Amino acid sequence: MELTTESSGLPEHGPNASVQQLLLDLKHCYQSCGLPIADNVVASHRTALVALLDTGTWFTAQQRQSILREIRRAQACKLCLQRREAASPNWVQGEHDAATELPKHFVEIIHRIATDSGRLTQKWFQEVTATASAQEYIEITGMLAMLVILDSYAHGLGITPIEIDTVQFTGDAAHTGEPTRQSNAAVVDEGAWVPLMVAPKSEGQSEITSGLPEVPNIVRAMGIVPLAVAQFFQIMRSHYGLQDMDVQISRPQIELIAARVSSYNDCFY
Amino acid sequence: MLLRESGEQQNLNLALDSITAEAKNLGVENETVLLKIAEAVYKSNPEQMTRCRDEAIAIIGARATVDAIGVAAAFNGITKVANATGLPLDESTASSTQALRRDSGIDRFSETWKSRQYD
Repeated sequence: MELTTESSGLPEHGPNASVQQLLLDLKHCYQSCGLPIADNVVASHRTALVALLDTGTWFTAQQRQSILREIRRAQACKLCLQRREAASPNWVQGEHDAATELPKHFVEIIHRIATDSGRLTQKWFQEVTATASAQEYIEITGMLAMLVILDSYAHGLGITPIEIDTVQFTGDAAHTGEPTRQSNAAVVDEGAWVPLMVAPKSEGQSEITSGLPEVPNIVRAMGIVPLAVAQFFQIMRSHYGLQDMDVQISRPQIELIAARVSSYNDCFY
Repeated sequence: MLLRESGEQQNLNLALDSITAEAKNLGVENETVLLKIAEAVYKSNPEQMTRCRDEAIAIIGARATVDAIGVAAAFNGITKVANATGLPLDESTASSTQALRRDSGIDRFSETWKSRQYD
């Protein structure tokens, strides 16, 4: 299976009427905030919203909507707050303040990644994936990361994040279809908690990079669910790239912000 | 790690061992207001964000401010992917940044350190 970050790889269909209204709301919010938002960012956010509310590879559209609601609920969850304040999140037990009827292990995955991803460990991962598949875990992770970008951006601009709870699906194929549940077999164990997407090796431009994968691990991380890779990097690319970024801050300034936000998130990568 | 490379490309002598610390001078133009944006986007406090955004617009302009918010938002998202998958460093990065990771404290974000601390 070929994976690329150059094209979105997303299904070509129009959103239903309710999602269409959501897209109009998003465009209106961005236009009315009075800040110069690049057209490609607006377009990528609209594409991301449609993708988030579509049927996924492992979840139905309705389940994905529940996942999105749960991601936002996590910020107000008392258990998550208590865990954040504890020296170790694993010392605090209890029930999450769930917003949905999603199974408890999905709620645990969503709330922990949303509120305390910097203190996740492999032991925790193994516990939660004893009941959820690694593919389901990755689809949730990809959706969460996309929604965090959308919501962080809205917050940064001072606008209210787009309301997703009220979207009603009107029966078109994108929202009534069944997940294909197809795994990508082209993955390999390279030390992450999940198998990484197989990547071509470099032809050897230098001694340091010769024989190493050409694709960085972060692009390979969600490789067992190619749709998650395509959907996430569709929005990520509109905010950040290693070259050809149409921005008015310098590369060191970009990387300074990236490094500091990564540090706040306790991110080793 | 890319901050190190971009600094070298532009002949900037950046104090990278301070990247995880507060109130240190790293040597990047307008870094104070950019770091405020990073913090405000991460902490998601509306009042802090409003103050910071107004200050940033006055100093670096509206478009640069929006661009900076976009980068911060993107890394607030992508770090969730890296953290949730226990992602190891790319091999080339791992071998070339040992000293930087040790001096900056980034090693405390490693899987080994976190397992010892939280499990």
